[in-house]
Amino acid sequence: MLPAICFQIGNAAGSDPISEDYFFEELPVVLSATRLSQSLADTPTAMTIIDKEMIRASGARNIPDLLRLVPGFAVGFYSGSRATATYHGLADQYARDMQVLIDGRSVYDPAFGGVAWADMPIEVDEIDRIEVIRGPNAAAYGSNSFSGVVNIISDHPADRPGTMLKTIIGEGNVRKIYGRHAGSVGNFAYRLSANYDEYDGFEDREDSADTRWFNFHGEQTLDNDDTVEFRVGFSQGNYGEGWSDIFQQTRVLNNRYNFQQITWKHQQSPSNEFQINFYHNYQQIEDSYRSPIISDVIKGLDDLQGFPEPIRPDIFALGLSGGNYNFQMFLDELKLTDSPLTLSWLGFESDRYDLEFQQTLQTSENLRLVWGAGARQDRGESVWIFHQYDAITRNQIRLFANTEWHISPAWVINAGGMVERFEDKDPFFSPRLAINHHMDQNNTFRASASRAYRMPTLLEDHINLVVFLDEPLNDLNTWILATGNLDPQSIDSFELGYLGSFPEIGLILDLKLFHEKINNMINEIHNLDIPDPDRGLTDPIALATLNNFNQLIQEGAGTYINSGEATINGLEVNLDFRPTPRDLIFLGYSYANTYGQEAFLILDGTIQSDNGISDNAASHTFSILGSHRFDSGIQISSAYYHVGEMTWGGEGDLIPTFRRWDVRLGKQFTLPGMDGEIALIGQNLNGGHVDFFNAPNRDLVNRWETRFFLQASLGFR
Amino acid sequence: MFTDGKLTALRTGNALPVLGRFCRVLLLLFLAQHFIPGYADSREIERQQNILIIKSGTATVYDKVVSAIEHYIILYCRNHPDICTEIDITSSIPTDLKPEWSRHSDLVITLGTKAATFTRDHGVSKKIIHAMIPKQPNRNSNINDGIFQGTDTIYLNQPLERSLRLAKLSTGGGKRIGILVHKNNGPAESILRRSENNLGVTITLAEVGDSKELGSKLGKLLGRSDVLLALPDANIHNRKTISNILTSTYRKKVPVVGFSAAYVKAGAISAVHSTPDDIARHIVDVSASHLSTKTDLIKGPKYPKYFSVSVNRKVARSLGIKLPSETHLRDQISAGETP
Repeated sequence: MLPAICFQIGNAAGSDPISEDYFFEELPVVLSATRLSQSLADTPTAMTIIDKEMIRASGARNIPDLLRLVPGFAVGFYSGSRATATYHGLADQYARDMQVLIDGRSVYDPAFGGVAWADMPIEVDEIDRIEVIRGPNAAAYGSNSFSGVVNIISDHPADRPGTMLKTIIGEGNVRKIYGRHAGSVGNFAYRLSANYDEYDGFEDREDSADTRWFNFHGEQTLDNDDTVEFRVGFSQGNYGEGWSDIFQQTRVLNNRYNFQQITWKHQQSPSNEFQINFYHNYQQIEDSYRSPIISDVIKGLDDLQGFPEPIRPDIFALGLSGGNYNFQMFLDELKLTDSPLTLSWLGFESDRYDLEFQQTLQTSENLRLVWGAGARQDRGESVWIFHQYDAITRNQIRLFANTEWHISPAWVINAGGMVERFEDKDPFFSPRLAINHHMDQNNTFRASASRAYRMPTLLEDHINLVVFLDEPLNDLNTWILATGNLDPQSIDSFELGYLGSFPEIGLILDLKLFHEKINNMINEIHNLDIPDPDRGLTDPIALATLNNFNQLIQEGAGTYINSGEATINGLEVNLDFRPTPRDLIFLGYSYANTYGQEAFLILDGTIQSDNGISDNAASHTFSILGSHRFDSGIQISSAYYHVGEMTWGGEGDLIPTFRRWDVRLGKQFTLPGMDGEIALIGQNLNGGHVDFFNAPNRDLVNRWETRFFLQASLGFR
Repeated sequence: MFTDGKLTALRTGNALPVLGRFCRVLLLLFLAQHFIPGYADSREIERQQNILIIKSGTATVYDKVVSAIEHYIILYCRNHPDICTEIDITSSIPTDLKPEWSRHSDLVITLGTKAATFTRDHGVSKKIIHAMIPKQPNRNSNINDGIFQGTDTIYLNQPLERSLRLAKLSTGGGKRIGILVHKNNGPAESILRRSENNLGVTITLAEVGDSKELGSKLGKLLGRSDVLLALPDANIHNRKTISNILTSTYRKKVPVVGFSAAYVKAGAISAVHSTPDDIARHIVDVSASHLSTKTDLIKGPKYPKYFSVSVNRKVARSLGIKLPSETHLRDQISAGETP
């Protein structure tokens, strides 16, 4: 983004005399109008900025925990290391309505949607700041910038040169070691970092995880007007998943993730800059499992425990076939073998290739224009999910423009939009219009309106998840089936905001009143009309027996349809108060009233809806973070998070009010040639709260316990 | 009206053309003589006074200063007919000077270090003003000290407190000022502490030894600073480092206060500096004291009396810092300075 690489100072001896030319020489324009970002007072939507101070004070070990600070956010850990984060609720494990960018690269997974946070090769310590746009911003970031945008910006290599080591150990078998080296060679600045993490996760679940990753960021300054940035990274992780269920048995997922990114920035003149950005993300999750063979599954059924084990399969077959088949006949007539059932919930590979051109122009003193065009290919491959070995691809092209017009010192208009055309879909336009009024240098009011869309994921459009017998494509039971070409869901958002910025006392206050209307929602529902595969059977008894067998596995199938609407009205408060450089108070609060209708069942061709959507978002969220640093280098900080009762979508459950209290006690120190910090972090001091899964009947409850960690870091200069 | 490089006129306009390498201005105070009744009869016409301006080079900035000196001398003389009668101003670079130039000059003004050194080498020490002199940042051995002690010398640099005042005004309310200094340079500790008390700010210095340290030192300094004040030191701030310093600070949302108009254009939020016009006004003020008395008034080196403030509105807007007008900032700084 900005050309900054290595520092070269003139003379190590410090004896360079300065001449009068030094005071009058022309210098290259470094911060041209095109490279400058908007100030908070000029932005069209509410934002929360999580900076290094907040990251450190929070004691968070991962990015989702940081997002708990943001008003309106709910974070759910569906296993000890894997999380979903959503703004204004209405999400499941794969929050599909939020765009997430790391250094300008969308990490939204095209196949499943959502973000595999645990697989992202980035350490919270190397994040410079997280800018969370609280509201739709498709005009700037495209589809899926639906409810909000999380923009993660990492440190520039030149900003923190040197070597750093960090380790965390603690309860729950937390073991982490992280190393980083940043430096420069000539005009090339770089950062290498590597990490290893392991964690046992929740107390009562087999969800331990270990992750390792490597990341490289290089920036070559060609001249004052040109820079090229390179980024690559990969991660590999093993994650315990599942629970005691025949179709969700405990297992270990093997995840692989890698990305490559190259960005060229060229400043044609101080008022004309363009950049070309290309990246590729790859995600692989290996997740397939085989149940015991059918006869052994039958022998384990509760209802048959009263019979001698050897005859249980025959009893089972006789029952299903109306007395016509014993177990062997059952297998023969239904063209089955006594084999395991095979299934995968998550196993897939996905790629995203994205190329974008962007030009920033300062067309006049008060008018700035950003426009660009991009093309993208998303690719998903999974015989488990898509019932085919071939990959499914989807291309997209887009054109966007945004203007910032300072009508006068007191009035700013932000207007823009993006046109997107997805393969096999109608093109759509996402506009935004906002006006900001600076009452004086401290007080700004804004009003904005925008429309955004969320494209269905490849999974929602193409899923054909089947329970196979023994091997893939030996179909037994259809679990989820896409039944039509889905349309994008849309959101219309209206916002009235106030930003008070009082730098004299270190206070920034943002208030937001909002109204959001979501239409054409993409719902996962159960369709009882979807038949299971007939396996080529024609005999009516065999077909009826197969049908009875399938009903024991699952009757009908899940599917996705466009149905339902939701309205969310509310207000949010975002307060950042730093009265002294040593003190920090951050407070976030949101109230949201969510209501609407969503479909949940299709039976006999009739869609059945209810208003349960109001339970899928918390009415209140509250977070507060406080920190004080003493002269001695000791820093004490504490955070409290509150999310009202809500029901997570998908497999998630009703979670009672979530309350979490964290404390961090750190001591910074300096030694010759190095500096470091030791910190004791206590999380969930109030203990015992439940997260995402809350199903005692399934023996599945995610319960956080109080845990303490010790963190040490050492930086070498 | 040029005749053999000599301009004979009374200039009254504000916008003066840049003069050539060698030119002379003869000021005939005919206004006073012809339009003030009885003027010519009331006083004895004194002989012509010769002012020689020696420029260090041919850069445009010297010519701008020369033009502005002429302008302000004319204004001064118009208001002080009892002191100025007929003034001849000549400007030249050292190599173009005519023999015995010093004997024919009632006042010599040098612009820049080279011109000052030239006069020293020719033994001229009376009735001389050295202007546009960069004060070297090395606190232990100022290479210019020997030349300028005991002579009227006007630095190009601004006094530290003036820069600090602007830095404080450019933070949007912050009070922590960070300064990068070379390990051998930078202001003395006592001056810093006094400034902290006077201005109610906290000043943090980061000493930089070699190029490898600049990035890390800057990074740490920015974490403790609301504004970075750039002081003139070619070891720290130069064409090679400016891009990195401005981009690093911008990423941290910390404004930079520079020391030249060019620094502001490059991306600093503001700078306090002396324009050619400011420099000329100060030179003319000092010249007036020489013209009005036949004895030398030896005062020694001093900082510019007049200064300007430049602001980069785009950078300020992007950082969310509201700044008053340049004039207002200058007045605020002036108001805080002891006359």
